[in-house]
Amino acid sequence: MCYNTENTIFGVFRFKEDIVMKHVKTLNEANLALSVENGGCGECQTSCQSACKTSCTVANQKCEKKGKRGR
Amino acid sequence: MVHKFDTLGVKCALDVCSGTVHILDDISYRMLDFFDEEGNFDQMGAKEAGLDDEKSMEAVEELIALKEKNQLFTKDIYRALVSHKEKKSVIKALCLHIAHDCNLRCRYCFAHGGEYMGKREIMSPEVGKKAIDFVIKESGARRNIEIDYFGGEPLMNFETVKEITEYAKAEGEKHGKNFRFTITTNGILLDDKKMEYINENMGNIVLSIDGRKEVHDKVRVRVDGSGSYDSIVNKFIKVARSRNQENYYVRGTFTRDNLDFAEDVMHLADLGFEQISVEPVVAQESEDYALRKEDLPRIFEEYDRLAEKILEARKNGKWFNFFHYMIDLHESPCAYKMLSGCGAGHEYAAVTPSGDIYPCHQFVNDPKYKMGDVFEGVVDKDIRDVFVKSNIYTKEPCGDCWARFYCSGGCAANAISMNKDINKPYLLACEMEKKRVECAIAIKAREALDEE
Ligand code: SF4
Ligand code: SF4
Repeated sequence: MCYNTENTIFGVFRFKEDIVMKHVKTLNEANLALSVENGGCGECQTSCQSACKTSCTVANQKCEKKGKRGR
Repeated sequence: MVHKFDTLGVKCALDVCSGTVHILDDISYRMLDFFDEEGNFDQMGAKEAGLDDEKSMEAVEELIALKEKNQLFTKDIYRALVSHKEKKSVIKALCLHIAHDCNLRCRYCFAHGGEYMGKREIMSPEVGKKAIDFVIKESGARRNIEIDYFGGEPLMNFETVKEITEYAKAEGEKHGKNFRFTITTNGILLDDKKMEYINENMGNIVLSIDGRKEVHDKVRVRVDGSGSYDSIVNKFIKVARSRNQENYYVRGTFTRDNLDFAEDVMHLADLGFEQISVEPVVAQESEDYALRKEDLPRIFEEYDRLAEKILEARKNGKWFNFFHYMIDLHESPCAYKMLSGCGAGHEYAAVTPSGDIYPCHQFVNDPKYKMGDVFEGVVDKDIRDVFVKSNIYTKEPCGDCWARFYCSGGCAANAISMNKDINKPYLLACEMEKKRVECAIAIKAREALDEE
């Protein structure tokens, strides 16, 4: 049986505000969704060109708007 | 979508669509299995597995709290951005093939001794200048333009490099463009004068060296078959120092002959290099040095070993950067960038010595992919469309792949050469890419835990 947590009637699953995290440590406050509004300027470097010529990882590229974009 | 993995002794959960990373303890790692794709918790399943004790439920509660905060089980909302990419993309980066000629005969070179299966030739300043005019015109409102001097070996035609650079700077000023230059070299012809010009004018230099002398000399050979390590290594050390250990890369390739490539990375680090990239060779499986599927477990093990070595070195105060483990979890590129990938064929193009335009350096001299030339200055719309329309949602495995926002769909050239289809990524490369992303995240996690 699956049920959606938002509709649960079991108290134990009700979302409490400031829950104390004992089992999970969150590493970053990333939110890719936010970058939809503030990103897309296209001024950043093209990916294949930083160190390699045979593979492509975009996650390690620098954002030209660093610090100004909210993500 | 959530991807969980246990790497370098830390258990992590990556919330794929927000980019949030969580470090989990054993219980929460186990309880994550009882959530479906949407983040609904299967209480019966957990109970049947005997996992309904207080601690397990505490972990479940925490995971649910993260979902409520949009840090777990977030949805992929980026599909709609694809049309933005298609409309807005302009050519803003060029790879200039300054010389289709080389003074080395590296066994794995995709350019086959620099010639690209064509004839030996060098680019004239006129062709280079036309290429600059072309990119200024094509780049629309974009201010930053990249020019990558590539070969063969670009130092074999360095006067032309200088002439093009000066022309681009002057024209850039006139047209409000900021040119950024990179040069890739094997180092044989590097001398103090060239180094000085490069340091003054170029934002990046890529120095080709594979690692340990015996590894390097086995593949990176001169025309007479002798190794090239001794004649370049000290020059490269000098370049790195003269650039304050920034804005350069020593770049190596590993093959089936050195699956212990962590040793090569460490060799480069021991030489004092701080910006290091060592990459898997891409070659048809018929080549004896090509990586094969059965090598993957060994390669994964080596990536782990390398990550451990990097962590240990940093702990001992020796910092260096490994290109593929570099990841900014706090401020990574925006969603648009994550969708556009390498930009080959629509943001990026290669120009041959005679002025022909191809989607990227890997396609050069394949007549099917000739997109035009710098004299006419127009690109074939049909070829461009193939590239601009391909993205993580059109590529078969990418839409369901947890690494899609890190990798953004892999190398188009590999997909075409290995699987004859731009939308079918080369899966061996995928497996290695995913492993590297896991290691990169796990390194961040370990460093965060160590800081506590
Ligand atoms: S790793 Fe492979 S499947 Fe995943 S996004 Fe990259 S190319 Fe696509
Ligand atoms: S197609 Fe491959 S080789 Fe060409 S630019 Fe893209 S990632 Fe680089």
